[in-house]
Amino acid sequence: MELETLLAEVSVGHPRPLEIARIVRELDALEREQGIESGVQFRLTTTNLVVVCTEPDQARGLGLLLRELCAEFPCRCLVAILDPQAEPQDMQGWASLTCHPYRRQHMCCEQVILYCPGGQGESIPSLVSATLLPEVPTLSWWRGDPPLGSQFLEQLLELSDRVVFDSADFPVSRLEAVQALVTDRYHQEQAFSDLSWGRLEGWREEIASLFDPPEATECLPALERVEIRFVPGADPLPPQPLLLAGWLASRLGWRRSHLKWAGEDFRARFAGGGGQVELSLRPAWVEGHSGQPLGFLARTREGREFRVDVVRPRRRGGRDAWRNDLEPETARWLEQMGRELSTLSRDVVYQEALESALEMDSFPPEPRLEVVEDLAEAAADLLEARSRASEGPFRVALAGGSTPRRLYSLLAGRDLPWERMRFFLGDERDVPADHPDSNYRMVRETLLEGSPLRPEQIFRWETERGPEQAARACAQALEGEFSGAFPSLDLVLLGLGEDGHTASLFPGTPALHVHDRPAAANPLGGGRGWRLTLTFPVLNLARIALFLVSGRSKSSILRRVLAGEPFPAGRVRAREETLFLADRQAGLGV
Amino acid sequence: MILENPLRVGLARTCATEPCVVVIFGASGDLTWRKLCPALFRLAEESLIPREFAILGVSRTPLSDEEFRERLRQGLPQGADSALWEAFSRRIHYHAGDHRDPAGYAALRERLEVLDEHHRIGGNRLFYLAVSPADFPLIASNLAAQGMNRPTRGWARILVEKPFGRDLFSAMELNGELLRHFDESQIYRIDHYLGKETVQNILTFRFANGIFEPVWNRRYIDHVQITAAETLGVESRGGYYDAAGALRDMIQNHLMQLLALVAMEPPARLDAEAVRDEKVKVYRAMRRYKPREVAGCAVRGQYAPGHIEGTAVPGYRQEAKVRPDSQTETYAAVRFLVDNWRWSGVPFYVRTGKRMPRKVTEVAVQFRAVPHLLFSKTPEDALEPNLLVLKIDPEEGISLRIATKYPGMVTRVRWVNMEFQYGRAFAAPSPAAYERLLLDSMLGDATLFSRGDAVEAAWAVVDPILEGWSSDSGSTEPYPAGSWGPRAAEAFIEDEGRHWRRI
Ligand SMILES: NC(=O)c1ccc[n+]([C@@H]2O[C@H](COP(=O)([O-])OP(=O)(O)OC[C@H]3O[C@@H](n4cnc5c(N)ncnc54)[C@H](OP(=O)(O)O)[C@@H]3O)[C@@H](O)[C@H]2O)c1
Repeated sequence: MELETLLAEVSVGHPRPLEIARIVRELDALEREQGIESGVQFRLTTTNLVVVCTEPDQARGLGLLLRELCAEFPCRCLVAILDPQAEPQDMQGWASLTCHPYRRQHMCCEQVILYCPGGQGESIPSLVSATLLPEVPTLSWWRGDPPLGSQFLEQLLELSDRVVFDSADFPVSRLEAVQALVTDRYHQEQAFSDLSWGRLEGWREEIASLFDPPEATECLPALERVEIRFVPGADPLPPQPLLLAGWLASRLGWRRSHLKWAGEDFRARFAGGGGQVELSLRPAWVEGHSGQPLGFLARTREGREFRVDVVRPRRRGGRDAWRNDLEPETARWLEQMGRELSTLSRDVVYQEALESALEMDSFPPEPRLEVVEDLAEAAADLLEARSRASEGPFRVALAGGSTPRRLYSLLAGRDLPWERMRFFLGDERDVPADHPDSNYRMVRETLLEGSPLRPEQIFRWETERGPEQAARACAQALEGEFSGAFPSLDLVLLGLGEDGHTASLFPGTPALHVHDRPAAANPLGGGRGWRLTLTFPVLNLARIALFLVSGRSKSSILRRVLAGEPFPAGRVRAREETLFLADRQAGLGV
Repeated sequence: MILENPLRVGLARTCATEPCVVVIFGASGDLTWRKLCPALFRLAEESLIPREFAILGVSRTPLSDEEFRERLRQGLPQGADSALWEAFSRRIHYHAGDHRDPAGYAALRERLEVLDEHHRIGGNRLFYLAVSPADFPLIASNLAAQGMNRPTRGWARILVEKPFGRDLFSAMELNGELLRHFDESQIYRIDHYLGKETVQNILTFRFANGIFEPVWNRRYIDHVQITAAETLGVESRGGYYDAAGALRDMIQNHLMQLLALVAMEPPARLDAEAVRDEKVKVYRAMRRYKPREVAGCAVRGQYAPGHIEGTAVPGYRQEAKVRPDSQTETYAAVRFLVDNWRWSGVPFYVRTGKRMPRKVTEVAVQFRAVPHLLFSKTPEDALEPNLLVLKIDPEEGISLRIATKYPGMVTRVRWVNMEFQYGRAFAAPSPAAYERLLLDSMLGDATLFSRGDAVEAAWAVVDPILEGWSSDSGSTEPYPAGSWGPRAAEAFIEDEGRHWRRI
């Protein structure tokens, strides 16, 4: 993003550039000026707000939210935008003072904006402590994936009374680190808000109210089966349904069981008070509801059912005419943030729900790296072994590109259980099936032609129908293949781009955020046309993810991905195993 | 009672609304479609009413359930969720009948039993009397005759609209009638002039700030002024108003409540009973004047033609449904005294009026002046005392007047106001009055409702004034619309060496 666009996205008022070393004096000057202009003698400030955007993308739309927030909670607000991908340079700063344009002059919002190219924000905490107003609570709000465990985060934490983050912004497995943070005995003075948890309030309210009548409360120990339907996020089992399940388990005393993928749902059995309870978390595709619960159904041993089908978003309490222009989404966000800002105590129910959720979920293992002499040989061995060891259909998503070409030719001569094999393409270019760039053409020439495989065993993206239609057809084909259940492939073969992309999930492209369908048409922007790609929830629900990485040019990106930097390829965690197979050149020095 | 529902822990609403049916008497009337039904629907939108819920409307006009629903739908705001209304309206029913006719109540009971079964309510009933207060006793006794006052399953509550009585005698009579059939805990008397938010703002300000309570007494406070001014005239309420007057309409209920909140001792808890106990104690401690003393402690006036915000408006006697020789007061000012340890000798000046220049409600607490003048360069009369104002309308807030030194070599004092407005900074917009009232009565929270003994105690304070005025018919002084009341009101307070605040 251009610096100017970035500023426009985050600013509340009219920012003017500021010399970093003079931050506090500049703010005072601004305040004096404003005071003289409007005759303000008495100021009301309720909060210090520190917002950290972990990448420029996280700054989008922030200004709009802050403008609304400042109208309700006059605050001193510091926004730090980290840009880890940029060339390291000096930090730049801006400041503005905006008094609320609606009725009250004395409700002002001072904003400091900091842009930190290339850096990790090490110097930010010192600026924060110099700018905070005394006596009012400080809230720090992480947009994006917070660098848990970093010194930056620790220092900022020390300065904060409440820390706000959204677990939808990072891989669900990071909840373990969140839990460690929240329960750390050195952080007992801070309160934590997970916005994903906050958004569950409506669901919790609806579900709780099912059991309010006394005769229904009595049914709780007699539950036999509880089902939560949900739409996946980047993780097949994202934080919201997981926390909802954790909440039920912690409140109802269900203990010691793990959720396992059972073909169509994640399932766990608990020894409840009056017998066994089966908990089922069932993913479904509903567009526009990524990561959210869709329905709740509980059944007792006597066959009594309790259900919630939709939770309508709560209407905002008041009827203040001047707020009616707000998008419902913004209004809801504002209400939620308002709640977080006005409570300062810790949320014990959240902590217990989180603990139970973590106890239940067996997160996928971290990726492994294996450096091999001959990449194609090694991959073929692995594929052969795994497919032969399996029963029933063995479903594989193939990668395009030059690296796998030799693998496919090798495979054709191997002893695979050809009858049981089903092949998909993880991604495709927007070209006809016989085009030299077509992944399908490459697979056909290498794999199909040399093996006993029948053409119908290879699924093809129907590019001739246009990208959107092709993606929809792919979703239908997957649905057919898995008889309506959520597609869980046995193995996905993936490549790694120098920019950190995998399949056709390129950095900064829309498909990164598509989680409500299995396949997406992905416009790359900048006149680079379209790609077709499977989406994260499908890749992550596969049993095995196998990356093939070859050549010296990939060495640096491989290292950064494995170090946990936020690249699309690093977002892949298959259920049983995620393996980066690299040749010597690529694996060198990693 | 409610078993502990483990899933409720930590939710914003810690207490669940129990299943119930709301029985509305006066169902074909104005209040029902205009206020009650939209309020209930909004509660449904916010999922604040229970799943097991029903409404039964009762009045004479013959209507089918369908027709009644259609009538209620007219009152919904633009853009109401029609799917939700579909579901909601299926829980609305109508029962035609004359509530004065005892014979009809058996059928009403049976109808309720059917609904109970159908909507799985479990017996809880809220009777909302949106009819003329004259009919309250009758409805209560008819309900009782069918045993509906003491249900075998669930609770029965009776909610009565204002006004509650027109003097001490009628209030006691009405209380007596209601209490013959219902317990005090079952009776919800509406008095919703002060929103819950305001009440809590005042209590919080008084009891959560350690620095005010120690000076909140006769040693530091000179006097208190409570003002409720409106710019409106009687509008369409001429008939009712002419028989009531400002003292009954505003002071007996609303402003005395406000006074009680300012004057009361800290309650032991913030629940409805404890707060109401303290309020009653204030009423009981208030000086009861003799009717013949009234001239010295109360002033009344009536608006004559004049101007409001530059527009000519008629006088009170020219309004519709007002007697042309009416003596009814549209302005009243009373000096109340609270004879207890804390307030002895501190007057509470309470005034209210229609057709005043501005719409304002506030409580101003004037502290005593400093005992010794150190600031010789300041003219003595410029040395005002500290003043704390609790603003209620149009914008809630607090302002405190403090003395500061004027910049410069000379020690000169300048007064500045520190103002704070609740506005949006803290108060999430409070829900509309009827939503609150209905929800609270379903939840069994009586904070916003008046208790029988409080109503009577308040009447006992104003009754002698009413009596004094009725025997002195000439004392209503006209004031031009758009002024701050009759001249007598100025004289009345100035005689005691004080002034009405300029607002
Ligand atoms: N409207 C307001 O905004 C407002 C505000 C505050 C307080 N209040 C109070 O609320 C109450 C009702 O006000 P409202 O404006 O709704 O009055 P309304 O429009 O005159 O309605 C009175 C209702 O009572 C019914 N009714 C009268 N006699 C009856 C009988 N013998 N049997 C059965 N039903 C009978 C009438 O219906 P049928 O003719 O069909 O029988 C009508 O539906 C009054 O006490 C008023 O003081 C009203």
